[in-house]
Amino acid sequence: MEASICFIEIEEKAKLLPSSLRPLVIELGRDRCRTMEELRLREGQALSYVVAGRECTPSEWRDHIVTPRDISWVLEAAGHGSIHAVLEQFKHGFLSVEGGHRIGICGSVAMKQGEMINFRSISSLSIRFCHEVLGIAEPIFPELIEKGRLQNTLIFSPPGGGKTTLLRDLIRCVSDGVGLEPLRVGVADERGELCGMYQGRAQRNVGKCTDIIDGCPKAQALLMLLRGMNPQVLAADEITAPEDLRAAEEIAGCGVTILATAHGAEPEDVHLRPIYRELLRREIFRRFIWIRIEKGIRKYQILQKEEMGGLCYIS
Amino acid sequence: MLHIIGKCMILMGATVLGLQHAAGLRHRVSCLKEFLTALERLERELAFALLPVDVLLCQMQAGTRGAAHRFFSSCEERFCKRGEERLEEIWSEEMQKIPLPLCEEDRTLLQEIGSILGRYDGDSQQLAFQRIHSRLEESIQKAKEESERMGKVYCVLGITVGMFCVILV
Repeated sequence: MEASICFIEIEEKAKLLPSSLRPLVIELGRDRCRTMEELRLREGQALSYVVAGRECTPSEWRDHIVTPRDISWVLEAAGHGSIHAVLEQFKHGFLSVEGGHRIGICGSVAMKQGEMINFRSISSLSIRFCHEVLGIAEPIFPELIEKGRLQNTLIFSPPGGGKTTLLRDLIRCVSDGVGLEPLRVGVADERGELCGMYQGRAQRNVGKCTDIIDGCPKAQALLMLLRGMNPQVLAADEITAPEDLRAAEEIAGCGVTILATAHGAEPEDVHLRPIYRELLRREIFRRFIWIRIEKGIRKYQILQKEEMGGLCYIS
Repeated sequence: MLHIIGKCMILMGATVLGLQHAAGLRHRVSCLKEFLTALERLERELAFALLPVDVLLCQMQAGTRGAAHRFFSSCEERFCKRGEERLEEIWSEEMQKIPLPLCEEDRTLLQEIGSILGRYDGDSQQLAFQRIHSRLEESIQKAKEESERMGKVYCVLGITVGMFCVILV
């Protein structure tokens, strides 16, 4: 199956903005809007958007300055006017919205006893759109199977490299049984980016045998899934904390396959960070997928625990 | 004959007026009780699951009847349109628009719910709602006493005024 990008339509992007800025996105046109990766709102500056990693402001947008009321509206709408329901995400500097999109928040922070409790004022927002690429994992999926069994796999790349997009499609492949019989997958979707849960339903295609816990710390969610849902595979995005490592160890010890992602520009970065060094030392993962972007082309290199794997080019 | 019918109508009219005033006091009590029921539900759901405001409004609407039900229904409909208005503004406007059998003091108290809901963390909201809950219970108690006391007065007054008018005519 050739990878097919599911474009987010113009209306879905525009509705995240207040009525004063919505027409700007709509007037941009469908083609330009489809490739838009992010929208950036900075107080006192014109609205801008990001395409292929580059930020730009069309000339017709330059007179439309983002106001504090615009920023306030975006957050009110994203949080359904319910700060109590989204406070934990807010404290971590982001909000997840319907469709699996994420709003990053910047501003002056209120601290209490060394811990951030809220934002005093908000100066900028980054609305990052979640793009689904169905089929992107299928060419590399067979490389992750050994003796008919899916191997524990770690995907790594720099931020924005496409780890989450790849993991999402891997989950779909496993859950729907692409090249393998369908397996029960449990997903710890702490930030709601993998599956885009909204009102109890996944907004992204993650397969028909997938169970999701969202909004819960990864380590806790993984153990809940392990104990309660009888999974055959568990997946989590961005293993970063020591408790995530402990959860991964427990999962591996139970014979459940684990799929995860980590930040790292190169394999050497994985060795440098203590938590990943520990993961390697304990030989929890047997396959590594290294994503890098060269001349605008995303490349996926499979690294086995013992040897280097083949190169696979996907544009 | 017509004279007698006229006098009966005057008497009935005055009596009905008195009964209406008495009924108004009873409706105020039942309306306040509906809002109290809604507030209790709100407190439980906040403590249990930190549900978003649109879901909370839906639940408050489902658990109430009469004018309170219409109020929450209207608020929920407007809030879910995701326009430029905040819940506080919607709540305040609907409080004036929907014909609730409440006095100004009652509306001011209930307005506080709209200005707190969804604006703060769960614990702060619960604390504030507990205080409003106590004050609402006091208001209901006072309204009940007033209804019992003044209700009889209005009924008797209605009949008395009616008879007085009949005598005068």
